[in-house]
Amino acid sequence: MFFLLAGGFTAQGQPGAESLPAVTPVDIDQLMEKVKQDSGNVVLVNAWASWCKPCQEEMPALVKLRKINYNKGFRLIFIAIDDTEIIDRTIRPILKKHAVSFPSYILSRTPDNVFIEKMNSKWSGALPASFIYDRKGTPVTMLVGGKKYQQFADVLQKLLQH
Amino acid sequence: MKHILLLLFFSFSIAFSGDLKDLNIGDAVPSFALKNYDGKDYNIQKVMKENKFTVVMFISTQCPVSNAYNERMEKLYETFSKKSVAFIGINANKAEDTVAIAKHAKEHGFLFPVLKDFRNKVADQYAAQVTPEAFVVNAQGKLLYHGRIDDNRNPAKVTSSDLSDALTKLLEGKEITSSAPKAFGCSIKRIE
Repeated sequence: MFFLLAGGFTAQGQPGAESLPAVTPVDIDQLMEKVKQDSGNVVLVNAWASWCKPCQEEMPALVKLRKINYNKGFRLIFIAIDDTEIIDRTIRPILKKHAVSFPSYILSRTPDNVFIEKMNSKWSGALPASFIYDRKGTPVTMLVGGKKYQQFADVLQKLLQH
Repeated sequence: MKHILLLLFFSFSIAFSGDLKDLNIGDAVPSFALKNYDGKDYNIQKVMKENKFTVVMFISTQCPVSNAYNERMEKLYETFSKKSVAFIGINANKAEDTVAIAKHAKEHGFLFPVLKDFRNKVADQYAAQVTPEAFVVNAQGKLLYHGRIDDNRNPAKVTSSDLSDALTKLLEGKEITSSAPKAFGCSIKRIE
């Protein structure tokens, strides 16, 4: 059902929009369902925003990690914390700029504080924030603030070995 | 053995992810003295004692979320400063210097001081993580409120004016029993 809805939500009304990466509005439960569907893999959920410069600065590192480790069972999920009205105008072009060629998500129908608490009750709400799940779907760590390639790689490599 | 090592690694990772010791409602807040962007010294103990309540706001010159609150912070100051509520802005971002803070404060007509927290010592003591993030203390230095200013970066979409409501309650002599909900913001860029 989630994936049937996914296609419908990605408005492609603007000229040229079809060449941009797909962005689907999801609530917190749908996002968690997506993480669950990816279990068996190591999953990194990265919360970012169009207004957050460090978020966009760390995107290339995450995309590179995905490219290198996809076949080893690494899955990357970008979730934008922005108004859904700016999906086509802002979110999709930013993702395209950073060579994100896979489906991404934008938070919808979930109050900010509910999302923050459900992702990790210790999370302050500071962006960017990455939430890493092991192959069983268990949350293992949270990385808050802009990170470099190696900082992500150090965490993921150990998890991908298992 | 391998599992134990992995467990140790993740225990370290979680701790390393920046868990500063949070202040709880009712805790005595740490004392500090910092300089305003104009060079004037501010001692938080003195400010607290001279006012019924003091609002400490961690803000930024560059963070778009913090900047979205510039007018709202100034409005809060206008409303509550005449009711013996002091407002203190703190900038703990490593890349934002006193010159930038002064320019920003003047551009936005801030009537409250914005103190430079070099090496983010005060941000660490308060376990402040985002901009904007607000703390309210009473004259005895007890923390009464910690959290967001309101529930939306877009002023047109605000449905819950948490900080304003908290100050109104406190001025009416009512108690605030829990922390305010969290909100998204920019991470405070600390000295590593």
